Amino acid sequence: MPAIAFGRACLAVLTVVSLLAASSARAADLAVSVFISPIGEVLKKGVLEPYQKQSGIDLRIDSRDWGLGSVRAKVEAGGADWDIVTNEETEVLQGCDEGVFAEIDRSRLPGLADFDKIGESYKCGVPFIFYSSVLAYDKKKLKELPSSWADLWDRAKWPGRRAMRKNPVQTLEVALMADGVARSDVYKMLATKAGVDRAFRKLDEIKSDIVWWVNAGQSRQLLASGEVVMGMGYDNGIAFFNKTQGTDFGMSRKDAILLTDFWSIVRDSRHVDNAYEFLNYAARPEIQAAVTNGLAISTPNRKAMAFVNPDWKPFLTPNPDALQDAIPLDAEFWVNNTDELTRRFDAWLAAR
Amino acid sequence: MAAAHADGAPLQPAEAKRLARRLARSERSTRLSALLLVAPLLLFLLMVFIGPLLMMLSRGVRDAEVAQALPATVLALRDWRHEEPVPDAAFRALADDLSKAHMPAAVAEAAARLNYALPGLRSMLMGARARMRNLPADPRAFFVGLSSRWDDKATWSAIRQASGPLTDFYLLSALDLKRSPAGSIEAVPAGESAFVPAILRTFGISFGVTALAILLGFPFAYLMATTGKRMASVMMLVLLLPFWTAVMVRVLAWSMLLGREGIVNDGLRSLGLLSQPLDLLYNRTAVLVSLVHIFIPYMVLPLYSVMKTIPASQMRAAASLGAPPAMAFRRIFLPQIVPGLAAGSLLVFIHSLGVFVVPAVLGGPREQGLPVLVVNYVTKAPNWGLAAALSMVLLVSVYLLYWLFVKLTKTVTPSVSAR
Repeated sequence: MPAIAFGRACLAVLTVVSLLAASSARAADLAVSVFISPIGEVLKKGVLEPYQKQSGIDLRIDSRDWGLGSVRAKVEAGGADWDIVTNEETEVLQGCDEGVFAEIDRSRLPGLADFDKIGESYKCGVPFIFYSSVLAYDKKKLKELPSSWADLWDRAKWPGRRAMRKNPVQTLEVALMADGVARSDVYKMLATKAGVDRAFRKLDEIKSDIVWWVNAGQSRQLLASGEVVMGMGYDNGIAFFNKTQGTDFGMSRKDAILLTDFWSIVRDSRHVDNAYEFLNYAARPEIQAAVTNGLAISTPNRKAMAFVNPDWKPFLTPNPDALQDAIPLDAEFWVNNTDELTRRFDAWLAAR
Repeated sequence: MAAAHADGAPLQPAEAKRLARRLARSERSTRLSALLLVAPLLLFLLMVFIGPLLMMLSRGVRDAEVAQALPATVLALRDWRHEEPVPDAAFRALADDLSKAHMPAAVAEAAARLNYALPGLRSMLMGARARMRNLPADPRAFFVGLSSRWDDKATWSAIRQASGPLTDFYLLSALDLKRSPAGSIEAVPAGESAFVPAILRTFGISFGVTALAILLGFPFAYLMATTGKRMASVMMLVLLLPFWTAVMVRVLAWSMLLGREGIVNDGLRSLGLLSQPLDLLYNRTAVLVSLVHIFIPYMVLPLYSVMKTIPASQMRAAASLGAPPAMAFRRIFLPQIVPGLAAGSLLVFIHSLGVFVVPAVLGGPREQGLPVLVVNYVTKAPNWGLAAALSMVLLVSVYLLYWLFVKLTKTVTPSVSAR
């Protein structure tokens, strides 16, 4: 088929041109692409740069925004110049199925022996942090402290605006739990039309008082500036903000949504051996602890707790075995339904 | 035009023909060398712009994933009509396709494609493949045992409608339409249409920006064209200085100015004019203000360039012939600046259609237009088919509008088109 051949030729030229243009895209022994800051900065300082120093390897560090599209584009163009990327659950799951990422051979990762079983079911990812979506508030500004998602809806007791994540993922779960749906039934409920309708009806109740945030930093700023009385936020960010900005934010972990981030190896990586060597290094307790200390974020490596800054310990998500008040994000559900529900969410947002 | 010798004697026919041939040959070689000179540029454009562009857009109408991963199923469903029960052959073919899928990634891509049409089909397909150790004896029982939705005709309709090679699925989605399992086109349920409102929003904002740019840019350009040289160059500098600043910087500056704790609110509060801060950010006004600020040079510069060519004596002549200022402006001045106005409006309008950063940073949910959606479908939720279809809708509507615009300006100013 000449059209496709022509398309391939175009793509090849484009790849060559962009390779020539991007001076950073040089050949290296290992190329790692991490999420943009703040997590990316912590990974660079705490994991990537020490690894480079220790191994003497020619390591290239890139950063990327979340979303599978950018990685898939690279793999499809045939020039996967990243070997390892950081990922969220849905990206790992979908990218694994579609062959964007390679399956992890756990026998080559002895370092995972001390890991909690969190995120174990993901075949193409090695978990490195976990955190949760919680109800956050400013202790200084509230007389009575909220303790559940239902309180986020209680405008009589806590008048004012609320901060929520501008994304159906997590937000619909929160709405259902606020409406009295049990943690264990949330995804069963969301899988039905009636359940989705119920979530949107619940959101309708406070729609006029919601301030939407896109990245987690905004959620803290909204609390700090007093624009909102409470809102959805991430546990680690709140602890970190308290420490660095001197705020006194509190949080309720009841019905928190548990989230995990992973390292994945890109399918056509030409440096698989180096990639495994790096993943073993990154799994070490003291290296995992460096990430935890940088962000007040929980680590799946049990032994890492010995190296963790004691200031953070009260804020870290407890061991997942003891994590009884949280619900893990159902990545399978969201890979199936993100498209449809995002469309509906956007339509709902834009409607008056 | 009869050819003739320099001394005036007419050319012989044979001689004329030879001359014409030689002339043509020499012209051809010039053309060829000209072509050779631009060839690198042409090739470059073809390879890095036109080619990839067409390739990306073609994703909006191509449907290859399912046919590639499930060839037997597609074949078995070809003659199936929605009124009939799903044939056993289809179940068997699907089991066959899944059990010998030598390219697991292809099945996943097909599953992702089918999931756009019917949420959940992805898991059904991937789950069936994972549980397929060897070919089941009773394929129908095997699939229905996994999920009762395999017994639903809608599932098989979705597969049949996605069997390609071409599809209207993405284009219909982009217009908030879909095909029913029986194949007829219908609107998506009320409250779920996201794209047509986004298209209308995009155009609404662009019209607003263009109108405001004319309103503000016209007097500015007029003053610049009629005032003294020194003043004109100061005005030009004022116009162009922000033009040289990166868009992102200007957008962030606006967000600092307009925030609840921003300079405007703080200023008004310290003057005692406000007790509660105004919500100036994340709304239509913030987006319009910023876009007009960014694009106004595109309006002023073309206007200025045509206004500069109109001699002041024309208006004086019109006045001396008895035309009141309003009539002189309407009959003499306005028709002559229409080309500049048209060029400026088109530039501002089309640029505003494509902006992504400004609504994303300064707008609320009701300011998010097509470009934001396209970026989301390319980078975040990778659904490139839909992204391509949305881009096509944007591209076609821009061309329609451009065509309409050219028609309109021609009828408004016959003198312009006659020139």
